[in-house]
Amino acid sequence: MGRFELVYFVLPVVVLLVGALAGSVIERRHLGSLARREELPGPVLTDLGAPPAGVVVSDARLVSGEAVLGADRGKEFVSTLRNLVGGEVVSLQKLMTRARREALLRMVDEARAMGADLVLNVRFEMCEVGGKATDVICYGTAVRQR
Amino acid sequence: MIVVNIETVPGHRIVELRGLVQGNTIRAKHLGRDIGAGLKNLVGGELRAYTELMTEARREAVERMIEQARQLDANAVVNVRFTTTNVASGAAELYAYGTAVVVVADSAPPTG
Repeated sequence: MGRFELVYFVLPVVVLLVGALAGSVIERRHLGSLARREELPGPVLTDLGAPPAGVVVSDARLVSGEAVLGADRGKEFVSTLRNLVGGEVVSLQKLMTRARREALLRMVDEARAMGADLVLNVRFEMCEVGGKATDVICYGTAVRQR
Repeated sequence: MIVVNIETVPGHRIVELRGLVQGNTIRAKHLGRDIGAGLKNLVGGELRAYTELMTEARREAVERMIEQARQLDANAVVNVRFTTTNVASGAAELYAYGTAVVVVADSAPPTG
């Protein structure tokens, strides 16, 4: 096998396989960690702009969390293929969900640290960074219930 | 400074409206971070350097917004919103805006 085949065929395939394998291990670990942390008791979350009638709250404070997640080579490859035929890109949909859950959990951590019972007006804001990664910012107003 | 993203400050009432305040920042990563993130892009997952970058950017944008509110003699910013834009490859803008107001505690006697 010549140098040409090595550089233009074998190497990219190896990179793709290593990336996809490591990516799926990282994904599984991350999903486990998310599930664990979501089980913990925490404030009630809502995207309502004000507390429901009858609920008296105090100590309002802006809380936020963010996460930047990128796709691995395997996901990139699959989404490129998907681009040819169209349809739902499941691998990237999972990635976005992970990023949002992570950002939300970080916001919840901040709210929990201040002893909040409720987080009002929860919002998500997404943007692309560095070409291939997505940033998710999750923010809301943490309050104590009286 | 009380900063919230709801329209009122619980336990307080808004007595004066001081107007829209805003803060923004555009951040780029230094080369080392970019290279690290490039490697990380092989295996996917969280790009911590970028997350830190966005956290710093958000804090900075909020600080600048608060600074404007201070200059208007406000003591709270309500209805804060964040928006982000990818201005150039490798740089991200974070923009925070809200309404600067003067609030007093509900228990305080009415003024003027």
